[in-house]
Amino acid sequence: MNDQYNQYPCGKEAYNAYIKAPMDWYVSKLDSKYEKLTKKIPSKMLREAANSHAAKSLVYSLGAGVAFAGSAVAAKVVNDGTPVMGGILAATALGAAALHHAKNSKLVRAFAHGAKNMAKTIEKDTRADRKKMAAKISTFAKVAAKRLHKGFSNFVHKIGENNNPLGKNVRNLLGRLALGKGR
Amino acid sequence: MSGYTTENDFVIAEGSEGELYIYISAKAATPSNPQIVYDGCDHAIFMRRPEERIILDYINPQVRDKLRKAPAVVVVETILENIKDCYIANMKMVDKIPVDWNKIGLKSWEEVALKK
Repeated sequence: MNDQYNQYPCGKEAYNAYIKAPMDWYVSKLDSKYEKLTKKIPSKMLREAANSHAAKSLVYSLGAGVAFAGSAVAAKVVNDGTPVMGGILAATALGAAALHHAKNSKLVRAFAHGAKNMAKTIEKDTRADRKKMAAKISTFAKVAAKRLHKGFSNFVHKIGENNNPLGKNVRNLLGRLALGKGR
Repeated sequence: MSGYTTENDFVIAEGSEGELYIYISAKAATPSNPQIVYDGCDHAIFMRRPEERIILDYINPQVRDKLRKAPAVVVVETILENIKDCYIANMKMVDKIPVDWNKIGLKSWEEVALKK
């Protein structure tokens, strides 16, 4: 395992030091004191921490992939004039994007924005029956996004639990895949 | 706030894989089901044991987003240059920790930055 570490001082003392000399020490390479301590942390725990982080990143990347594919197909279907399918796909994209939106990812925030715009485009259609349909789709998209977000969060939370045997296996597998080690 | 202590001086380190380590001073008793409640703002609450709550105050702005996204962190309790205990604490994200930090004398990094 690579031993490059960044250090972020926290707490009242760090805050007081910041007031006196802002930005001087903000982020730095790990102090020798902490570097020595880190070498004493059991390697199993270091590995578990890295795997857990990598697994979650991979799940979010998959979410981003779904959002991207959903947005692309939705755009195509909307252009072809099939608002229902477009709306459903936009909802899927929006749901996956909402997950990332909550995590403040700029890329996926853009996806979420795109999906919202798509829903708006459908709403702007002047034909009355389509407009009515679009309103329904829009509502559906919002509900679906919320549910998808909740479902995804629960799933991520589940696989993140240390005492969950399924979670442990999934986490280890995803972690290994994310680290490019294969099975 | 009774039942809460404040950490005052601690360090968060980030490993090359993005994993996070929190170095705090050693505490008495063994931790049980440790977890950190965080809302992405200045301060977090570390529930070391159900009856022991520690305020992790003034979290460095540079690491907040990483902490918010982390599923778990490794907590390292230290005595001088030795490790007393080392364990994984799950992160529990909330929209807002329902505590008025001003009432217990805690401010925010932004307050200072905005005054300058």
